[in-house]
Amino acid sequence: MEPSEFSLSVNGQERAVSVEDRQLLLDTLRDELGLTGAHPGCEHGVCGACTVLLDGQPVRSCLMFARQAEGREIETVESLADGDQLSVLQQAFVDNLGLQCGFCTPGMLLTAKAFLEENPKPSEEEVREAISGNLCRCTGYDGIVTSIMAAAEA
Amino acid sequence: MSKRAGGWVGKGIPMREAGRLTRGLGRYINDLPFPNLAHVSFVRSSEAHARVVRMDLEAARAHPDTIAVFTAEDLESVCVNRYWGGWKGTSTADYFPLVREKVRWVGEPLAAVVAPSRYQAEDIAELVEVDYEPLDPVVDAEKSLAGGGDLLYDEWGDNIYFHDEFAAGELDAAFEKAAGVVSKRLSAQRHTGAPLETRGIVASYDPASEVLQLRAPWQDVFLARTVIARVLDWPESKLEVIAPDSGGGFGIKLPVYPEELACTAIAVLLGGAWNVKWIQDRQEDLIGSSQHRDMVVDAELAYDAAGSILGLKVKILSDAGAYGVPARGNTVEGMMAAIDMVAAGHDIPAYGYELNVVMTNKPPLCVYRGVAQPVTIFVMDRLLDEVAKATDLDRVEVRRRNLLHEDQFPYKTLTGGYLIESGSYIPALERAMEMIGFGDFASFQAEMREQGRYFGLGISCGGEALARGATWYGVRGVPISGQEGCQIKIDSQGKVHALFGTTAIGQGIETTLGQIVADQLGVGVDDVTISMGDTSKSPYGAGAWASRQATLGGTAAVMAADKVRAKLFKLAAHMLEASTEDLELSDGAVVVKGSPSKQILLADLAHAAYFTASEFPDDVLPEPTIEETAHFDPPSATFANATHAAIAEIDPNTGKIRFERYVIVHDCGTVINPMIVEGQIYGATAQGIGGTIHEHLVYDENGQPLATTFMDYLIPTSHDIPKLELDHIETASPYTALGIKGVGESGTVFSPAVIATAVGDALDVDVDRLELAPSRVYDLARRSPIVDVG
Repeated sequence: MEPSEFSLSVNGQERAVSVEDRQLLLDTLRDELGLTGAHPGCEHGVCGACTVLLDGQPVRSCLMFARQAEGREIETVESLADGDQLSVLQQAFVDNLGLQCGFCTPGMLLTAKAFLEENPKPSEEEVREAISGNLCRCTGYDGIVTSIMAAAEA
Repeated sequence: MSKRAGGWVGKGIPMREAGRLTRGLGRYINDLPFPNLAHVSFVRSSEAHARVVRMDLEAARAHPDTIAVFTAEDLESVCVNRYWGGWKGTSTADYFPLVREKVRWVGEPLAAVVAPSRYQAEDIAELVEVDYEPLDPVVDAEKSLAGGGDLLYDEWGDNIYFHDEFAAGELDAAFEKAAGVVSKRLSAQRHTGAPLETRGIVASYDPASEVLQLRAPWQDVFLARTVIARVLDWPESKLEVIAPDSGGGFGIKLPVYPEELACTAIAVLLGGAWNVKWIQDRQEDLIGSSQHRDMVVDAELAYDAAGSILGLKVKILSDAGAYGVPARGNTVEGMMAAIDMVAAGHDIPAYGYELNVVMTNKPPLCVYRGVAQPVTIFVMDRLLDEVAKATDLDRVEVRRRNLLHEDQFPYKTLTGGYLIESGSYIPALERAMEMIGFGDFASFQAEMREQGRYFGLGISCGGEALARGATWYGVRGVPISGQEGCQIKIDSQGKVHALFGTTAIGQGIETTLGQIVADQLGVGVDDVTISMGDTSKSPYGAGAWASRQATLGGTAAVMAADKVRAKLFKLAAHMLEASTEDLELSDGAVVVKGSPSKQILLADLAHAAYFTASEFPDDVLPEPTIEETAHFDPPSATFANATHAAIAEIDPNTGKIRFERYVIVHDCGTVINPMIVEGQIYGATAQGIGGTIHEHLVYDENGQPLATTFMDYLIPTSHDIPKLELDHIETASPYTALGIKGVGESGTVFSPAVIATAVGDALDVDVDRLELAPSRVYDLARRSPIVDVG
């Protein structure tokens, strides 16, 4: 299969890519652009570890082709910190053990970021609802809920 | 061995890797950049039990994108030995990296296709055609034990992998004089750990040095090295096994699997031209990573008029799958159930077991968080609830009468040669009952039942064996070490670097070990560099299993620090003209106690040692570096204990279990980092809940797996896990430095029985299987004498 050449807007930069039309956005971000923060956890859209923001909304990058993201604004976890300075949300995850192995964390952070932008002062139950599409196998979710609540209150 | 000043131990500081992980700077196996990557895709068996009569590789080999295609025969020149481990008394059921004549589970790898991208490798693998001659599959353990179906291994004459019997104490007399006997058939379904990161490997070979470098998120890099060294007949000195960041392990990443052996062999066969990479997909995980529990226990318990246990007899049937996993074999779950049944903090004067581990056409059983203990604790809690019913005692009183009391430690168990060293079995029970309000529950339950609502109180309590030393695997013939090692270096700049044989899999072990080292050497926790998970750099150790690393690695750290301190003090005493007894380590310096102005910085001591050795007599500086190593293998195991109690509401119309409250009082010995300890308890409890209310690896009668995606195999979500109310008791272990016992598995061990006993109490039914998906709870409600389902 011949590759197509096009560009993607990732974390505010236009990035040229050359990939087959069948290539997933997830694999393109990871393998072509070196942005390995989005992780393949199930590759069928259930676990949420591959979540990125597309025009501000969380999407599963394992369920779409890179070409489908052409002309859209893609944000990955690598955009959240300002250099070494963690965002409020990231720092809340660090301080409240919102992660253990860290594999689900990029997807959790991006899901939480989009959620907090829509609902800056959520209840704990709303936070649980917001992250219910992202699986975490380590924490039992409590540290994650606490972190997101702490970020909302910061 | 005691606590030292510094105060890092006991502090809930954040995990040291947390910052970079939130920035997407995890370095998991799939993230590591390599030149010349070749991707492997496996051709897998579509049959559970069949002879392979033909495999047509022509089209795959002819494909223009193909780098190579390998079968079992092709790998033989590298994988020269069949090997699994040597658990005494088991039949031989060796894995080959790729199947030769006979497939024994659906998904077993038959051939490996290598191509420049994974997309290409998967496409090419689809071109391989396989013809099978089907055999009668053996899917059910009872059928396997009874000799039904075709033999998995013709040469055995049956399908029994391991059989063992044992009796101790006056067992017959116990049952003769008993006031009563309760009998139960109790079981657990097959499930798995399903870490969010699947397995994977990158194998690199340098033909010049003949060094094989393997990167994979193995939980025990030294075990992986042992297994591969034996299969390949390769010197350990030329095998470098490195664990990058791990996206979760839970036991699943302990074994060396066929795929990893195949990729290793392929790297050698390709002559070092390619770095050979395989990343498992989720389906491959659910059909082909190790699986767990799948056990039936027929138990009989004899008790006296006071409800005290007189004796226990069990027959255990373990459905072990089709092969012996390299090193651990797949006897471990059944054997641990047999041994640990009477090592869980109950006073049991007589015990006998019969254990049958049988082969079936399913993937091999190995170890998953808690191993057999969720089942053994369930057995004990269910039996004690039955005793309570039969004697008209309340459920707490029965437990109070049978758990170990303060004056019984150390308690020698009838099996395994364990000494339960200390614990808070009764205090943890009392405190949990107080927190959950046991005394008030019955009236609340009755009131709610009047309204047609069904609440139950579940109780699970006891202990768990952790940090098992050579007394567990080593004595049974298995080459898995019980030790943990630590090397501490004060480098030439005076900075502290501690290296461990442990492996980080998300437990925060780098942080907790850093806290211990910091206290021991009087430096800040951020001034300690921690390294682990690399056989070419780390001191020997045995990795992440049995909640052992903080306990045993921490003890090794204290031992190594003692040696470092002695060396530093000898040198400093000479330089400060002081006595070694008057010195202490504080704020990065050796200080004369009471005279803080008389001190010498670690940097200056290091400079003196590394660069000016000729200035010192031999007795002051015997060797011109400050590097010391220590290893620790515990005398038996440590024993942590806990009580879980939950109030759950059952909806008889949907089968949903809703937790109203969930209380845990646990005792893991000295707490190094309360935040990390609570995180471990939370996460482990969530896995125990998931493994009870959702997760089930279903196989049909032909051995076809029916749960092959996260749509069918349900991992608990944020809606499934309740808020936990936690309380800690700290009873030190006398066996380990600082009194640490271990905490990784506790939540998984006790949560299944809590759910089962809560559902039983809510519906007034016997819950005898640890499989409580909504459909089963719905069925149980239909059997309930108190539920009116209309």
